Amino acid sequence: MSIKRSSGQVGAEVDGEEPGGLVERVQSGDLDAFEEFFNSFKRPVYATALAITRDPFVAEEILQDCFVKAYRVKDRLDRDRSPLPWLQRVTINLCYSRLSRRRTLVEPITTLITNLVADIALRPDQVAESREVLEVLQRGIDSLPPKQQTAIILYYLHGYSLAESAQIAECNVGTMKSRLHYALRALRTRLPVERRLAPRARARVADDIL
Amino acid sequence: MTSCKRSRELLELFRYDSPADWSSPQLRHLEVCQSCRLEVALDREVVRQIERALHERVDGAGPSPAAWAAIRRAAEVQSAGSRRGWLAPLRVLGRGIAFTAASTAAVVLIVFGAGRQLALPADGRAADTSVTVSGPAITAALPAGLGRIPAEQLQAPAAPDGADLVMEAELSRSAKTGDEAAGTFSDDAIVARAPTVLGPAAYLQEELITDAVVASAPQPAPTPEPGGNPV
Repeated sequence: MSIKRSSGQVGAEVDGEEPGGLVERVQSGDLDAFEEFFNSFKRPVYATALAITRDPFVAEEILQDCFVKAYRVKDRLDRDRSPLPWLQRVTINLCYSRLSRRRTLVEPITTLITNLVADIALRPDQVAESREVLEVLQRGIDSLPPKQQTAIILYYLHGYSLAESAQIAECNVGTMKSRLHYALRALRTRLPVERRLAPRARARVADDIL
Repeated sequence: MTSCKRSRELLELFRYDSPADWSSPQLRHLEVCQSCRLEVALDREVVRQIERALHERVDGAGPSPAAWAAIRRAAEVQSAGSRRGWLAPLRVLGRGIAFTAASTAAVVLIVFGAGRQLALPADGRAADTSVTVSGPAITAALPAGLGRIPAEQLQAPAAPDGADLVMEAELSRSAKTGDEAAGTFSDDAIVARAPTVLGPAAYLQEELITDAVVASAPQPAPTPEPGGNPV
């Protein structure tokens, strides 16, 4: 799975219309424009929320909170820039503030299912090895510190460039590189040596290094 | 993990840059360092797996149609709230203006009403405070029948000369003789003493004067017991 990275500004165009025009109409209180605004940005926002929380219900609540907040502060949105980095930042903050409350109470149902599947996956005679690697990685991603988790979601899930990811995460490019490096290293160490690579991948690596 | 010092630099090149940017020394290092080749290959493979895992989390998922309905409701509530928010200062401002107008009107009415009653100069000059207005002049300026007191009553009647001395003499005489009749004073003596005790305003009211007379009148002296002292 290869990601085509975006170039330029995040969300620079919205269905051929400059985001500034749409933001201007939203700022005038036009609810139809706000619906258009929502439809333009809901997917990346929802994807971020779901990737962090792994719970569709919580992700939808966060999506709603994010857009309600966007409407509340619509007058402060910059017409010259895409609102997507701001929306993503708000989403990430909402996710972690909610997860910090929830994690102590109850695990999301999807995590429980994932863990159950992972437990079954520990029996290599029943489940494919690549599946096991994926499950280990899923748990590894969940256990990353929020900043590293955000970095890999922005860079590897959304395909934002380093500069865009850094803009959303409000850090510089060097910091973003560092966060990605430590996240990848942590994930690699979570994989048992013999399970780091699925069988097909092992063959690919062997091809690469030889 | 490799111990090669150049591995991180190589990993970052593979992660973030296109191969066209590679410089030849780095490529030459990869050719000779097998551990770095393995490191780069493992890193690329782990990245592939991570991308797969992340996409697995979100693929095919999207917000429900109810999400927009909820957001729209919240936005409408916010719009209504913000309209009320805009009106609130206007309401306060309106109340302030109304209060100021009412206060100004009241002050104008008082000033012009009083000016007309006191016959202030028509050109609106301030009253000359050096001019003293006599009591009868103020009384004459009051509306007819409103708390009017005959001008002759405003002046206390002059006490007859030596009235105080007469009363003192009579009191001392009654104390000395114990004569029952000695406790009765003449009206003139009472009237002359009353203003100094009750003040001129009370003096004008008959009831208070009567009370003062009763209170200040000496009680009849008790009849002395035979052979005893008067109490």
